[in-house]
Amino acid sequence: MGRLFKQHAELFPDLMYEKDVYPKRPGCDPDLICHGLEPITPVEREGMEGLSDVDTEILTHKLSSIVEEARDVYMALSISEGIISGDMNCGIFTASGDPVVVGTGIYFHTLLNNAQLKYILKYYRHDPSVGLADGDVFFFNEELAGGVHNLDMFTAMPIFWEGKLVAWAEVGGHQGDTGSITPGGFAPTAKSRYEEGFHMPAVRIGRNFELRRDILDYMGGTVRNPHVFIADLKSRTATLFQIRRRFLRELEKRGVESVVGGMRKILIRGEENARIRLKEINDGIFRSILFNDEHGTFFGLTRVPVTVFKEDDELIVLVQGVSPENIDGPFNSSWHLTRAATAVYLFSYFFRGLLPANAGLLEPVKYYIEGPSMMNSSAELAHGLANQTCAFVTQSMYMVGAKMLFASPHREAVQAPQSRNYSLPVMGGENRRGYYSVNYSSNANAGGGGGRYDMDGEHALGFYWGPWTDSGEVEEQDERLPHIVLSRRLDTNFHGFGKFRGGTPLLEVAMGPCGHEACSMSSWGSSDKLSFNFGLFGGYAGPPNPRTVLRDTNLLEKLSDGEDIELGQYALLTDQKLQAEYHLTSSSKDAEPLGENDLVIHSVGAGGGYGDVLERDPGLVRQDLDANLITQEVAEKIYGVVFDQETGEVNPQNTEKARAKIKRKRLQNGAPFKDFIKGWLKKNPKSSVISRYGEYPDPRFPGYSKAFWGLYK
Amino acid sequence: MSSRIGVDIGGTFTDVVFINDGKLYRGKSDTTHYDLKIGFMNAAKAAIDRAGSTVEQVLQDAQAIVYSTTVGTNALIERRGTKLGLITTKGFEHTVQVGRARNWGDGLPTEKKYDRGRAMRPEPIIPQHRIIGIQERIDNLGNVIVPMSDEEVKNKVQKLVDEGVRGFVVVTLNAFINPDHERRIGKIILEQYPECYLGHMPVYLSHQISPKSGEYRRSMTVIIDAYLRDLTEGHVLRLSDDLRDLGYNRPIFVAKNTGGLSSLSRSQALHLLGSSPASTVIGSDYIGETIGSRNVIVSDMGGTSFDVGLVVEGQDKVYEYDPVVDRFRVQIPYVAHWSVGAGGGSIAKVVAGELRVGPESAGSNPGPACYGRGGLDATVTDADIVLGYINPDNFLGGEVSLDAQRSKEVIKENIADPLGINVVEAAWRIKRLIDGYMGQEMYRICALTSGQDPRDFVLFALGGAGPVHAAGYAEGADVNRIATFPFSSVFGAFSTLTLDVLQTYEKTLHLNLYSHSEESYGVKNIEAFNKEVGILVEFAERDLQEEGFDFNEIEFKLDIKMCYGQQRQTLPINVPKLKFTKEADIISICEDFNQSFASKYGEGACYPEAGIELVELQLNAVAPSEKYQLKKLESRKRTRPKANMNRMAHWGPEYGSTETPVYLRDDIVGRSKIEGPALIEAHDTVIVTPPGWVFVTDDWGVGWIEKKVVN
Repeated sequence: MGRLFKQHAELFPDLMYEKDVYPKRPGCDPDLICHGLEPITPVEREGMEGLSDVDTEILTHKLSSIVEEARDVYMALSISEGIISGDMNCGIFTASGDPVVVGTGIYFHTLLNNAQLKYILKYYRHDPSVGLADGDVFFFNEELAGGVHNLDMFTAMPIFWEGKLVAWAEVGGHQGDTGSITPGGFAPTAKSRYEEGFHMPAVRIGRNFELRRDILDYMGGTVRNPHVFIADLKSRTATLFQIRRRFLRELEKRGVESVVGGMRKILIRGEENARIRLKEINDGIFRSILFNDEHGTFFGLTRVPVTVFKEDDELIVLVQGVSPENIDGPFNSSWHLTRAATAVYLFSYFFRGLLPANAGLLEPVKYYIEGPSMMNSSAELAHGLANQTCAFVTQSMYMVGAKMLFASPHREAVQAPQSRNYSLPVMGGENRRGYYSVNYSSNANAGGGGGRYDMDGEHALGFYWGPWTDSGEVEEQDERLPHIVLSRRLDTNFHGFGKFRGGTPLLEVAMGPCGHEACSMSSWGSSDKLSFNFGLFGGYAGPPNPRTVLRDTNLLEKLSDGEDIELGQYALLTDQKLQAEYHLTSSSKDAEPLGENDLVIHSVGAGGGYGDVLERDPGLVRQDLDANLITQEVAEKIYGVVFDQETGEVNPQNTEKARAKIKRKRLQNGAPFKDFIKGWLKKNPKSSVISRYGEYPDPRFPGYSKAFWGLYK
Repeated sequence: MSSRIGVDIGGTFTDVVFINDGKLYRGKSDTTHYDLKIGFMNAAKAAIDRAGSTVEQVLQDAQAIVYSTTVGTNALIERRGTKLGLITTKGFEHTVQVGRARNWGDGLPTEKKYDRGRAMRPEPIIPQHRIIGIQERIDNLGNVIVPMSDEEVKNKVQKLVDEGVRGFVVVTLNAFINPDHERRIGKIILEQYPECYLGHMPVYLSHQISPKSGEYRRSMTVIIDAYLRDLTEGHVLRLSDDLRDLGYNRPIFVAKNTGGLSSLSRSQALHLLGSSPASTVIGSDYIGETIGSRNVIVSDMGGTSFDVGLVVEGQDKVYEYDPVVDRFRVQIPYVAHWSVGAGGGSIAKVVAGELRVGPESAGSNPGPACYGRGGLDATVTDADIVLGYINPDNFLGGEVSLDAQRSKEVIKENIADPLGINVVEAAWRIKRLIDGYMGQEMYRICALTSGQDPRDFVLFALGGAGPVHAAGYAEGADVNRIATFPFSSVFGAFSTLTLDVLQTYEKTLHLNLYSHSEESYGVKNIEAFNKEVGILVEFAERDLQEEGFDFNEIEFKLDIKMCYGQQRQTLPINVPKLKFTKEADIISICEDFNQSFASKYGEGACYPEAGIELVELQLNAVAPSEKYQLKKLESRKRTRPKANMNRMAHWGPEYGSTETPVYLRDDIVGRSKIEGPALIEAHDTVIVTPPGWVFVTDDWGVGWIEKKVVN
């Protein structure tokens, strides 16, 4: 623990900071989850001694190739929309259960789903009623055992060499249903884990390289779409076998010591590289705070502050002063997930280029996540939207990281966060090929990127959690999902403005099935009124993204009459040409029917902008206008750009004057910070809005001194 | 015996192979980008001179010229194609700009694919303002959900005309199932701009060019094809006219990336991209069959890239069905080949205390430091010189002199000093690393695409740097036998003369073949199957009869792509007949599918309980062409070649630096065997045979580098 932390932070007794708040329970041991890397084994040490850097580099490449191949196979053989679009992982772990190379997929899985292996090793391996043998296949989806939420389902198998355990292979991804009270697994109304479908800690489902039929039947019977579930489970297992086969060949070729020693060296090298990177960055304390606007299926404020202490070659992440647990909704994260979620930012940006991403990279980072709170929550609660909740910290990591990296040799990684303003429908019903389908659209993998220090954010960059995901094509989606997408495009005025604007997502306008089986839709997300997609250094935030449903529209009638209807959110809501009931509500809703005259408009939101809008090149503003990314009103009022009325070209002199005027107005509206705070604190929100917030304005436990983002002294 | 000419125009060199009376002559020349014909004529002259004839005489007598060119590739890179407009379904106007989200990483090396903070999409081929949406929507069953208004089409097409487009691409959703809207759009444009008038503009309808599912990939397939059509056609027609002026009076055939050839009038521009490496795979298949190698990993290591292809069991070409062209994913059955950023020009550097080699390359200009053209970086070729493998005084037969001292200096400065090691050790590490990368890429490709064990394969070492590094990268790929050929350096041109005339037809077609819940096979779909296959056969007959073939000469091969339930992955299954008549036909292909799936992914992965679906048809129509026959050596006597000289070469920490015998490849005749370490110098390469390996020549004159078996 560094000097800065000791001087400025205070951890309170009776609260949990360094591990999950819940105690040991069947199949789950929090002490194993927070354990970090296991000690070096004698065989690893022996192997490392004989390895040159070149040997390690070649082994890294080889093992990475194996898991990347596995990733492609797993995606190709599966049916669930989440898996085939990249919400998955394939990894090789040390014999002790630490992840060495992971084919992403999703970065946070890189740091999760290893405690289950350690649990097997500690509690089952030497228990004669379970044991551990070559050819075993284990399954787990219990989030409390070290996962994300129970929709993410994994299989793992031990790899033995000459009778000795030398490694683990693991494959898993996001399954379309869990048997929860809401079709599709995400249950926004769930108030406890028992409403979220089945949870299994590590359970052996296969022996001697064969899956057990009775267990498959049991598992298939717990969900709504058994043929998808079992097909995906088989694809997972086939992929495991492939990893094992390739890995054994490496052992045969290179010798067991070289491979396991090399794996340990990869982990050590990850840590060393991370420390080198950290040393290149200035010391300091960096802060960010995020307000969430939804918990369950209704609006309301909660707060998540993040403080990062950077000192020498270490980081400390302190999440403190957080709102209480979400007792009547699924917005609860766990300690281990909150920690792992930071990797999404750190691996892609902060530690950019330090591949492969693995547990070694996070060794110089320490986490203090206060619990019980919504970021480190109790066991009995619902955790289905833990993925949304943990992202609050990730978004703040972008902000903190940008501040750290700006004055460093790694400024290229400075950018506003990728979009996390989710509003994601989950469709259920029989598709047009007669298969029962329950899943979200792979449009979830097309969120906007944040504005960058030297260029605009990329449109439809990808899935928030992973660098390598696929938003698919609508013609393929027509084959699998029950609804019909009428439009998939970049929308107008739907990004964060700035010197460099944020990227726009792909926005879908979809309707229920035409002349076909009924379709049900649930949905989840938040950021309905407040954006999570911060603007950076003066840039505007990406816009909020409420659930938008238009019921009983006359759209098909109008289109059949040849009327030209612009199918984007901006046009539909601004022009309101359609006769319909317009519902703009909180993103998370339980299942309800979606008919052929009902429209749902959805995206996963747009990136925030970078820098002051008044510094944006007027030529780029003109381009945005021509591309319908912004309206004339935004060009003039936000960017202060004036166009020649006859030619439509930018008028530089008048633009300069207009911008000077906006600056003067800003100064008039400004106030010293102390005055602002004084006035601000008088504006107490309505009690209904802060009913889940905790003590206002700074959530804290009774008796503790006032916390301000973790800084006490 | 006929005389035939194969041409391969590459980025750096133009290669020509002239085959006459069963003899093979090769010619090489610099590619003349300002006028490709000049390079071609120079290379042709070099080959024909060796045959003791004249270009005019040979062209008058030649039965065929087969042509492989990069003209389209270069035009695509430089965005020099036709100015096009795109008409698509309204609401999907951003499809080609955004693609499938992750497509920003398509065509980039791995480390850049993961660097999403710097993600940037490529420059579009059709800019957004030349894309218009027409209100219409058809679902995947062909039902019209939103009807189309002809009036809207007329109004919007005018906008593109005003933009000055020179062609229209039309892609509407699910047009491959129900093409009515696309056809109507095409008809409206033709009515407005009839062919009989100046200013007529071609219309490219997606369901005709690529009748397959996936609106982004189908759009890019049609766009790239249309974009390069005028330019490619103009180029080949000009060449054709010039050759006719010189007396050549037969059709010019073009090599295609689908693994065959066709006359210009039956070719698509998109099929010419990457046709050279695709031909090389087919040529390897052909040669492999002659010399008895049915599983081949084809490796071609040049200056900037390392191309890999596969021949599996000598019959099934390995296809990539959604290949990336430039930075875009398209839908063509592309003979799979992969390009890795590794070659003689790959730059070595030390990053954060660790050695890295590639993917950046010094290219040919400035090239490796030893070229003396101002290159400051240490490259793989520099390491090869320091290690003693390449003779700086006998590079390309002594035509180019290399500066060995310069190689030492840059390796010392950039690698050895920062790592605190000596120059030779640094050069050795560069070699090990690049060989390791290439070997693993080969291993990955072999395993990923075919699930084959690389130990069952032999390696063909092609390209100037291939034989230098082959033993090194073969280790990484787990391959123990490497073939080198006297015509390795013009293998691409040679391969064009091994291609058959081929037309490929594809169609997305969703038919249920087995339903587990109903415990029945899809007998009711037999009629639909037969109808769609019949249409493809008609297309094939029409096209190949145009090429001058009788129906009886055409060989048909029908593959159907199948999956369980709604899996994304499909496996191609060969169907032995073009028409189904009974349930047993369906049962038979379902069984073939189950077996094929089990063999690739394991028994446990099979899951017919989810149903078995047919997803796509692919019909190949083949008309055979005459080919060069490799001949066995007349003398089968064992010979004992003598070393020409000795040279100091380094072989790693185990063997150190030793005086190594150097042989001239031309001196090795008959069946010979040379123990490694040895260096065998050919005109345009060095066959490096390390300790533990042996160089042997066989009855075909092929030089094999073989790993010695350790008892």
